[in-house]
Amino acid sequence: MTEYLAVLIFVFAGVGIVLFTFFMSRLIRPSNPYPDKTINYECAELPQGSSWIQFNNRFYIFALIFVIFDVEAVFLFPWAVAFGQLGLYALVEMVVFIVILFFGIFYAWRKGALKWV
Amino acid sequence: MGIIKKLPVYAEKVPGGGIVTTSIEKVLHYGQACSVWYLLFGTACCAIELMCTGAARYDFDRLGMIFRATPRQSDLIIVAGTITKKMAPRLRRLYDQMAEPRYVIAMGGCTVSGGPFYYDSYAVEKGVDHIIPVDVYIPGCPPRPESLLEGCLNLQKKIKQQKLSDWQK
Amino acid sequence: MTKDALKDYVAGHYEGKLTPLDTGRFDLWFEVKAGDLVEVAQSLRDDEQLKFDFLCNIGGVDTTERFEAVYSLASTVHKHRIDLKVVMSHDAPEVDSVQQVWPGANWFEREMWELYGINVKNHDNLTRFLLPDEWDQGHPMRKDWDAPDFIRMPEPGQ
Repeated sequence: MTEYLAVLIFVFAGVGIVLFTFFMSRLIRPSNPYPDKTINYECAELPQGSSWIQFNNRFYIFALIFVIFDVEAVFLFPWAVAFGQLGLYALVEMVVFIVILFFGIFYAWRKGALKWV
Repeated sequence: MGIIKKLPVYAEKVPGGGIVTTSIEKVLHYGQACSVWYLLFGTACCAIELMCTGAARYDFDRLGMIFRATPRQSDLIIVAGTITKKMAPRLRRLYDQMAEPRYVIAMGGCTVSGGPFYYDSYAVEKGVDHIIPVDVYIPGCPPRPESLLEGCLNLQKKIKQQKLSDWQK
Repeated sequence: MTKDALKDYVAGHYEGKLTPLDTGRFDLWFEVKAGDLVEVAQSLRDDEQLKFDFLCNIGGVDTTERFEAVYSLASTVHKHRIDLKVVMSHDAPEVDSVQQVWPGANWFEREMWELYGINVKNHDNLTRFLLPDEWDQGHPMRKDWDAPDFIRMPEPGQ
């Protein structure tokens, strides 16, 4: 239980330091907004058109594939840590797990989801 | 923002309060002067000298000066190169888009007063201080990297002379 | 072709339309009348021996008595160069556009109009593009142009 308490203290300290620096910076910096300053930056020309553009869906697909395999990595880490105490059974089970996910990425690869352009 | 603006006024009333102001000023000066990030703005030949000064032999990074491509993240604009009348509104817009505190170095003869284009030119703005307020002028056509580095050191000196009550503007 | 051969060929084939000028400069100079310009340009480009298919430059000149337009031509096939000059009056300078002959002449003629005021006929887009957006002070490269912040080089000795 005390290990989780240590983690909690770390989280609070990390967030606290960041908030502290923001607060100090807010105290010190000058603030002087006027209309010419707050227009969009378009390499010193007057902005034309809206700045909200539509994203290409390749970003979404890459993020999705990343999340799936990141979760796989999250499963791999504790298995690797405790691998010494587990037996052959754990190795075979993890290989099966990876093979199943490998079929997934093989499908995505052949479908062209991994091509950026 | 509230505290910093009122601090000098209150500090003067308390005996010994000036020490607080000057110590805060010292910290702020070191923080500002030793990391002046400049906007990459080069129009003509002085830009080549600017690039050369940023390169290995005469280094800008040892003064803490890193180039930024956007005015939103920069403190300093080194106007390197001839500014024509067509470019003048864009320069003004870039200066406006910088966040305070912001500084300007006019590098080279053309920005100081039109340079070689002072005579017989219909298109050159004769001096960039017609457009934006300049802090340091560096003459030369183009100024050597040592000159530019001295200009930047002069700017650091100028920053270190600012008072906390100047923040109230 | 060598310079002399070129000069003889051009003077021979364009009798009356192109008159050679002796400027003492390296390139060959010919003077052409404003009315013959497009026809001469077309045949200079299409003639097999000459093949002037590259328009290097069109420049305007303002001597205080007259306007001139100078066309610098080159041949990428035969590797020779020639310069043509059109002389116009000072009051109403006008020249025909050669953009059907060389499409690259479009911007040169626009620049000539914008800076000198030389009117180019049959041009599809004679608008200001080099000078600043709100320019309303005339044609700056003319010798008689002046502006409040236009400072002339002082004569030596002043």
